[in-house]
Amino acid sequence: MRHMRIKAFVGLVACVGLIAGCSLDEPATPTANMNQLTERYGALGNSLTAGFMGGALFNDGQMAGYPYLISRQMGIEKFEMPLVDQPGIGAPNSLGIPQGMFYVDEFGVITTDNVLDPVGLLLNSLHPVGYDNLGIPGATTFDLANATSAATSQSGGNLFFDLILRNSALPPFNTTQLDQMMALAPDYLSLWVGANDVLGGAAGGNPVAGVNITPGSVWPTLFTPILDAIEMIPGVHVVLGNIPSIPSAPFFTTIPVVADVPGIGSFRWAMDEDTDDDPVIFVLITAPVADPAEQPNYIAELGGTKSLGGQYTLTQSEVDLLDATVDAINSTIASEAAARGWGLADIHALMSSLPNDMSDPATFGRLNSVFPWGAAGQNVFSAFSLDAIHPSEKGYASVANFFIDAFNDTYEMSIPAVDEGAVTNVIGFANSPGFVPPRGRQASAPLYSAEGRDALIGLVELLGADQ
Amino acid sequence: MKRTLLNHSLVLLLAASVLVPSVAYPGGFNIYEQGSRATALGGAFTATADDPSALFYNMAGTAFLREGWALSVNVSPVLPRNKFTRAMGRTAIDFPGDPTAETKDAVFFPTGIYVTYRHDDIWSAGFSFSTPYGLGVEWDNQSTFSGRTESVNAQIEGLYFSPSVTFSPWSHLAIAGGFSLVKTSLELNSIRTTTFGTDNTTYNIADVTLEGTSRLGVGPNAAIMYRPSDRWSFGVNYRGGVLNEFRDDDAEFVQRTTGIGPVDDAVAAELAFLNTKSANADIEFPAILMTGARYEVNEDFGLMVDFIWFDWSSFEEIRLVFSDPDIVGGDPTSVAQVIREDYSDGQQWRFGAEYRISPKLRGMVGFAYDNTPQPTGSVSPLLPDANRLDYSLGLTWEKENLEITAGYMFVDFDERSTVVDGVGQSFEGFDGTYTALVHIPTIGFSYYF
Repeated sequence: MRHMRIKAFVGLVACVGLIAGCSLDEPATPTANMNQLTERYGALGNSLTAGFMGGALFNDGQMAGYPYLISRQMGIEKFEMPLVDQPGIGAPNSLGIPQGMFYVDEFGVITTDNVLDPVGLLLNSLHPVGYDNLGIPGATTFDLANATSAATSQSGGNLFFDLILRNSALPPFNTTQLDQMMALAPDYLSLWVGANDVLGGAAGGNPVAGVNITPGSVWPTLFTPILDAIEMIPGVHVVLGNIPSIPSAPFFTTIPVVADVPGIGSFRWAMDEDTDDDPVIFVLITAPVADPAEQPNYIAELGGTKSLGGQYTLTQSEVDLLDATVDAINSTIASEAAARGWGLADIHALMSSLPNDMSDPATFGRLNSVFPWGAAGQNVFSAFSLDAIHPSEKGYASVANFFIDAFNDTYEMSIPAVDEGAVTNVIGFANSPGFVPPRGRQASAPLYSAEGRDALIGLVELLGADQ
Repeated sequence: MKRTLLNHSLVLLLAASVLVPSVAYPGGFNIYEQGSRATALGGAFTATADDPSALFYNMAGTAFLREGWALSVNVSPVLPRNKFTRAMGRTAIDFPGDPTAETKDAVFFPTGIYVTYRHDDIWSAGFSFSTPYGLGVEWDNQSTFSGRTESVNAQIEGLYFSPSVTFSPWSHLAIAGGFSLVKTSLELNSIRTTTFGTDNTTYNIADVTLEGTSRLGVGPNAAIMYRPSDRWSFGVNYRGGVLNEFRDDDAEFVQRTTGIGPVDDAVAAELAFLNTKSANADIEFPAILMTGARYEVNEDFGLMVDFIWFDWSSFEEIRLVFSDPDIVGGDPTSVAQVIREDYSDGQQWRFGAEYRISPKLRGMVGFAYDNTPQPTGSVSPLLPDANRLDYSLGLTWEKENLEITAGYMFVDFDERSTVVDGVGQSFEGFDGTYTALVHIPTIGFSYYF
């Protein structure tokens, strides 16, 4: 019996020995072209990409911006942005002092405040690599691949390049937006650039090809090298955004060319550039007549002696130039996207489709009830923020969905759309101290304070880099 | 992770990400082989606990030992071996280096030393030194290992000193209580890299070492042994979690020069800053609840089964802080890093059988299934844990007051990949497949005075 037990035990020893004698297998070689937990989405562009809203870059706007929305919808956990604390950093006013975000004050006036220490507002300036959102307000297509600092930006003094690129602290100390994005090597990339190549000249009222807008024939020479570089990022999925029709923003369309004076009649403003051969088509929101108190001074029939300068108006020929340039740029974007197999987000179509009629609260449009002569709508339905150029929360959500659609269509992805119905415009209202968001409020008062107007003009200058 | 430029916050953050996750993880970090007889029985020893190693497996078992003093020394050398193959695709781009790797040959010596004293039928006591948590994973060819930014070497050892008292009000029941005083040492090494140049060449720029010893940690212990008949025995043993507080421990950054002036200058400046920092971290060894039953088929043949539960779900994240301890009021430039772990509770099933081959000789076999609590995302070169099967056997020879046990356990890990359906799951983006096995010979001596 004992021998049997010993034999049985020896048998067990042999079994375990056989198991233990197996060699360690070589692990299989899997392929993982993506890691959903570490996927990187990068956004390149200008203020529209940065999440600029209401005249400034600030955290609430950045979080409402389309790149952040896309990253969330993609399920990407880490999406780093150059977050700016409130009141944000906007364009400098006429004294050179940066302004904060626009907000509606307790009198219903759009105003802003000085920001004396813009650098101190940066919330994650120590982020050790380039930001995933590399949209820089004011950036032109040239800037994207060439500017490394405020001094080297096309405008020659755009502070945002220093703040976002951080080349004074981030080795190797001389990188452009494109360089930093290349180093990040994102899996997904959106590129939306070109608007500032046209917008500055348009917003300044005197667009001149080769001076303050980039000629459509020249723009491809700036754009395609950027695409060639991006194409070198292994496995990158790219969607390009085209640029909106410039006059589709309320900045250009809010103030009519003809003033209706209740009980008296309609009168065309006195305008320097208004001729029969080349009539003024748009009056800019920066025009003095945005202030009702100034309006009589620009109506000759009522004894007014002033005339709107060319910086406040766009004539038919100027609009034609803008449209032609935008069309040329968008043609290039479309053909490049098709040639490279990339997606195209047709933002031009989106912005052009926005209704001026705000009577349908189920949709939203380009107008904003707080702008003078705005249609009877609510700000919560506007696609534009208080600076009249950059989108509102709702506008950015819609832009995000256009990019998401392009990713899904091009790469057979299934990124869920942003629920636009759940997005409400509150920035600039909810943030104003002691002021209740003016839902349904009708515009009847001067809209921009002197400070606000000054900042708005500064914004035009920020966007108006000579080409 | 490798696509990084260097500044101080970068290095701190990356160092944190490298140094932390290793410090507390799964079944693989727990070393259950604290007694030779228990190891030979596949760890199914909670209801048996019939030698002084009961102080680890079930303190209440001391009530059933011989009267008087007893000493037991158990050594179970652990010989691990791991292999890794990096995933193709994105990981290969982000983590350049050798696509395959193996760990260096190594031997670790978990040791259990137990002293018991059974005063009478009612009271007994004991104290033990054991190492139930510990680890060593050192990769070969470290400078070119593709996972070098994650870890090239991790050594952790928790030393437990555990006194206990057992009370046996009835002959078939004993209850025990005690506590553990714990000191834990760790050494974690990794290599920092950066890319430079138009071709994005990767350079090793610094060796990162974190070395430290925890403050004294304390954890409660309690146990019950119930033997309602000659055939049945039941046991429950609880070993409480222990918080290991590492304070002001060494975090050392040693530069590796690249020969590229701007890079080396930037690295030197940042490392000078970093080397003013110390590392602080809290790491908890989880509580363990052991339950077991033993059935004597006849006087020569016993069967055992244990279910072991580990409270790993409490391990959700690790917060590591680098700061300068000499700054009064706190270092304003300290950097904290939170590492996601997301563990779930761990379970083990352990089975054992024991034959009395002769009056002086017993043969033992065992088997265990160890379900890893480590989520796929945190599987990394620091510890590539996986579900595992343990196979064991051994012999106990006894003569008068001496017992000698020799045994062997083979631990077979499932192959584990961080790539699931073609999608990488690694929290750090370092995807690949791991295989592992461990040999554990064991020998123990027990003497009854």
